[in-house]
Amino acid sequence: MKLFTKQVKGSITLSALIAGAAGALLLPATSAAAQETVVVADAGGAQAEALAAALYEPFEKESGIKVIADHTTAIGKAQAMSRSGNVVWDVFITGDTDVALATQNDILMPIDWNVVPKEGLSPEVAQTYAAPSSRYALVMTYNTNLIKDPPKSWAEWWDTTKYNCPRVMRNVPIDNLEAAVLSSGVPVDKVYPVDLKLAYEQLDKIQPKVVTFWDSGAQSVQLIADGSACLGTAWTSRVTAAEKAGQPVARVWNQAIVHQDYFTVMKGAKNPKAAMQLIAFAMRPEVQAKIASRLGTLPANPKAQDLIEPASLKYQPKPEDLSKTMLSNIGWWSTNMADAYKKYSGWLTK
Amino acid sequence: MLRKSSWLIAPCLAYMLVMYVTPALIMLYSPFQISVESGFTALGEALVEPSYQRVMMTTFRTALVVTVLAVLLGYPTAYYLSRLPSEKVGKYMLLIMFPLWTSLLVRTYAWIALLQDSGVINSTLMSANLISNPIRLLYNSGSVAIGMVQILLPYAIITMYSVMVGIKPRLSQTAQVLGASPTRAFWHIFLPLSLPGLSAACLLLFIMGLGFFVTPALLGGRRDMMVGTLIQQQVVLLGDWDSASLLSIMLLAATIILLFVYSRFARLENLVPASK
Repeated sequence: MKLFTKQVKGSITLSALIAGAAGALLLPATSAAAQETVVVADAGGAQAEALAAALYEPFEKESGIKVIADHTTAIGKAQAMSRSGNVVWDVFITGDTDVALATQNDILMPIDWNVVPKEGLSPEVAQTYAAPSSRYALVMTYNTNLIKDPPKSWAEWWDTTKYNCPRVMRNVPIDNLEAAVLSSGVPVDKVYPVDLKLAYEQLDKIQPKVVTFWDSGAQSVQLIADGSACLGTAWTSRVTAAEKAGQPVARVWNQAIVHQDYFTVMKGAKNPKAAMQLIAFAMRPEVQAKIASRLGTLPANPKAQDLIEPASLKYQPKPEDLSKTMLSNIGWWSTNMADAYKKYSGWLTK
Repeated sequence: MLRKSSWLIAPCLAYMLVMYVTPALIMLYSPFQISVESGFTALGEALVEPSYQRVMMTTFRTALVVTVLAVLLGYPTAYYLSRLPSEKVGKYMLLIMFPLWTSLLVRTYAWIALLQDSGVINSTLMSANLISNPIRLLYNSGSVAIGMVQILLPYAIITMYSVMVGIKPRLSQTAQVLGASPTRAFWHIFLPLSLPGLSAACLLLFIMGLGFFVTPALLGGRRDMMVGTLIQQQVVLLGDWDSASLLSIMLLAATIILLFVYSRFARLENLVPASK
């Protein structure tokens, strides 16, 4: 859920476009020749700002194609568009779980790998229906004023004797089930298939300490920054934004659960050619490096890693950090998603 | 005369039909797309699903609590305003309407700023040495109720005021002339006459309360999940329109049943202030 959507510099929002279109109708004399456009759905917040500066603006300048950003990326909205036959989005930037669902629902168009350069990308991420954006992770977070000796594992995060203070977690099962299993001492390579019985036993143990379950990324860091909780979970891009804003929030890389963001193109998109061009532009190492530098994420193209701004390296995981993380298994999630959500909201409201 | 100009409402009706009724029907039809039987089977399963039942219970309990609180707070205010000369009411009404001009989201975040551990209330109490550790004011059903009551209160006051203002002061005065104490005159004359406004406010607030989404999601804890949040999760995160639709059907059915029950006891028109 995006509670706040921010108008991003250099890209115009849909409502502005509608207002503009209305204006153009009223003043036909001023309308110029039809300009090529591409509509991009992103997640808003920190991600949208990074994309606007590193991707949308330079792409507009080079190609002359106007980028219209819609900061409400959601699988439900994508499906609704697809069902109605009026596909407004061209590029749908989203996480790995949504890509799995969207592929199952057959609402995506294959990536034109003749236009989009595959060079440097690993085959797992250069998929038929998705081109890789950056990698992010769900990490343990802590309030730096309250915690001087941060937890080194989910087991320590779960340890209420060592850290006798409130926690916050997300209100959906994704990553929480993995964290719960890890907290019992299961090694990172043995997390899948998730032992649900074990996961819920662990969740039951920590539940009395959880002050609330966050719904939006903004909340996840806010709750830690204002001291409502001392330990929490958050997406890395949000932690980076909070750190840059000088908030007392920091992350732990150990046992972080790594996800991959993707560029996809909607089936029935009105500007598929422009969409492929935008994605091709986004694969350039310098563009990927700029996005990753702003968000503290990892670029998909290894060449981009060498171009990361030195000041931003501290927000990124180091190779030794990465070796302690685990990859979210989307295959497991795409078959277990609906049941897992039902069971989790049952547990949540118990 | 009235009949002849009834076409004036046609544009509004057409708008509502296209923009509200049709999409709502499409949404509600979703689970029955494959077959009517499978739709009803799914509805039956949704009705007995324990987590849905709990969220529904929370939703109804929260709506009931905030309705009672808002009406209790609103009734004396509406009573006071209805006894004022009409030229003095305007500025008070302006004050009551004022919160409605501020975004619901802003008001909800303002409650977080007030109630959080490092918030205004806790830091004031702590600096006054009244407490040594912050009191947990946020993320429980109490904070949800506080936030929702604040948002619903203007609706309660305005609905009750519109009925009370039509109750002639002379009636209570007559009762007192005939020997009733002011208290007795209130309980026997004013209160019964104000009941249509009271019941209308209760129903309006309860139905509005059932549909709350942002306030309970931001101010509540894990047990305070209301059906709006659950529907949002089903659509936005899971893309499961059928489950979202089933939950909407359950909520809509509950609302219709309530309206039906209400209509057995009072006139539905009372819900609308202008029709007194």
